[in-house]
Amino acid sequence: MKQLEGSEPIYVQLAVWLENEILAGRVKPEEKIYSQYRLSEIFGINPATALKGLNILVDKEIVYKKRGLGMFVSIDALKILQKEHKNEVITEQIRDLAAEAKLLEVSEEELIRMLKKEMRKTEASELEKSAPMNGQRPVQSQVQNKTKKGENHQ
Amino acid sequence: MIRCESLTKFFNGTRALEECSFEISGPSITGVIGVNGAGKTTLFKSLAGFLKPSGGNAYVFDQPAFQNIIAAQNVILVDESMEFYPGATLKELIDSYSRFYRNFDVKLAMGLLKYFNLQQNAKYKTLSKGVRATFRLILGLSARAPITLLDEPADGMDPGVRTDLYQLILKDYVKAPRIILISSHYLGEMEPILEDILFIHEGKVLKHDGLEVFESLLIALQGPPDIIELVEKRLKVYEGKNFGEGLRRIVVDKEAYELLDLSEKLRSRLTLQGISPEGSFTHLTRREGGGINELYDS
Amino acid sequence: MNSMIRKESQLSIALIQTKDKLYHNINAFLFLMILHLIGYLISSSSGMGYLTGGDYFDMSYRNFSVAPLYVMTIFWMILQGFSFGEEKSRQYYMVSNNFTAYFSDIAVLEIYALTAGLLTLFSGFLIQVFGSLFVGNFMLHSLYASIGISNYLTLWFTGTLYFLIFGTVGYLVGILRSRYRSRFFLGLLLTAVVWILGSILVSYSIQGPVSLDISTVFRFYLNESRFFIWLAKVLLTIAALYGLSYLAVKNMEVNR
Repeated sequence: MKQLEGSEPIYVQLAVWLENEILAGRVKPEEKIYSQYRLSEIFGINPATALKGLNILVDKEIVYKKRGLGMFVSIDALKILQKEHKNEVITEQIRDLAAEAKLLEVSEEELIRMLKKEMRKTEASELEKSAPMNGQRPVQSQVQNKTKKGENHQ
Repeated sequence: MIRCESLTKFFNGTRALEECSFEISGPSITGVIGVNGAGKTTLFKSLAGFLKPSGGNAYVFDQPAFQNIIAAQNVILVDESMEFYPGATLKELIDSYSRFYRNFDVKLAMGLLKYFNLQQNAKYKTLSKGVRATFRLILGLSARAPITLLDEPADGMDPGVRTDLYQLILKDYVKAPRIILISSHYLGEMEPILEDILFIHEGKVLKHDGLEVFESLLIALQGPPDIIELVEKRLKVYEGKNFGEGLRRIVVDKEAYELLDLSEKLRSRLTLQGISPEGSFTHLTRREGGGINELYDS
Repeated sequence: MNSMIRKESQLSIALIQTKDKLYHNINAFLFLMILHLIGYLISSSSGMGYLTGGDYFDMSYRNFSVAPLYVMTIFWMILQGFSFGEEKSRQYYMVSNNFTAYFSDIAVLEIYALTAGLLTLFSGFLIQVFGSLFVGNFMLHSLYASIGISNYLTLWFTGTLYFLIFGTVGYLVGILRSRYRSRFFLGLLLTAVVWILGSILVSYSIQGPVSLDISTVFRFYLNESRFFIWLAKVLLTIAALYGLSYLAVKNMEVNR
């Protein structure tokens, strides 16, 4: 049985978990999402609570109801979620980061340099994950082009 | 399906229940929360038709519960004081109950006996406290009564078993949805399986609402003492604590704080933290008067 | 959930309760047999019982051949009635109200009275059978070889009704005790007074003033030679006892 922990109401925590499932691609657009009963089973919570969590996603239009068939992930789900996360999560993290940098007396340029380094590292590891077994890396050239573009832009 | 209208019950001069009014109209799992002596057991006994109301009434399927045979066959009350024939074996009790409760699932009961390692030929009176509680729950759930009242079902059970117990109740509820009321004075362990909470204090129904409402009743406010004290002057405070010189933390009503006339600037200097329903329950039922620190520090 | 709602009648619940009470109290009959055995032993030691050469065991009686048995059975009926009247038996049933509990208690007592009536007649035979199995040439009494059918039926019928009266008295006392625990002796007194007064009143209206003592009460029934008057007396007594018991049980709460 999975655990939901935190000081937020259970149904809110559940909504967050569902959104992360969608973001991570474990449930894709147009696919059926977990039912309230399945969630009840997974987390050991009341199906009504699970339904409340699902309804948060319905209100955000990330998930929609198909009469008699259940709840499905909307086509635009990823777009909506990414936009939301960008607005909330990234903004908050940048705010914290800027405050922290000021406290530690890190300059703006140094901060941006550190950020770029980190982003490249992340892209590379994503690449490795999606690489075919025989060693070919057809996608790599595209990535290199992007990097070049970024550098030019700077 | 369940409706209490100003239900009042006196016992030898003490008021066990006072003007209780609430309604439950569909399948759900409701946690009945209250301290010892709050009136939970009296409420259950009144709903089961054991006690005659001193005032008001308890209706089950629109019939007054007391002495009503329709109520009796559709309500099962599982509690510690349940009496069984002295020499009866577990199997005999299951057979007996299945004759009275027409929805009784004997196969389920026998399966649960096996799952919990209970011998069908064991005599109830030879079982330990915790095992008896398990058997009572098996009986209560297998009966599949439309209204199932469980009075402190986990009382006497080992901690590891308690969570399993609540999960069992949830599982059976999903399989056969009905009105289930579970009373306890430990809210935390049964929170996940609840849909609603009925909060009883000193014989009165203080609040009856969804779990999510109780999850956002109180908040902990933390910040610089001078700002906190500003808030304290204008709101009811359930608890106040200092953390060194620069930090003070208080517990207040979430809604009251949101409605408070306080500038955004000041608000941004305070941090909010949710209080769990169990925490809220503790604060709301704490006795008025000095804390333990005052007793020891004076 | 609506499909789960049951609407059985009070009567059907009462019948289920009756069967259940009989099942769970089956030991009571064993207890009765043991009491009968003791009854025989008592009568054999105080009466003319003797052991003659070898294993010939004779238990003869004087006039009232089955008196000890009847006494034992009456004792048993009062005890059973009392235990059913006590709260315990009502607390074992979750699907119940005072009416179904009362109805099933009375039904069980009636069955007990019928069975006791029969057993009292035939326990002699049973003991004869068991005796013959273990002791050769065991002969209880010639009484058991030679009574006609109609006598048996009468004995059974009257025995049943008498036993029922005693059982119901025990039941009423049991209820009063459990309901008015602190005022139990008051209740006991009340029952005795009501019964005695009732019998006196009825016999007064039928045959004029009469002395006030226990034997009067018993003679009221036993000396009645006119069958239908006797039947009326007994049935009215039983009805009165039933009524009083029901009044005592009505509106009783279950306090576990």
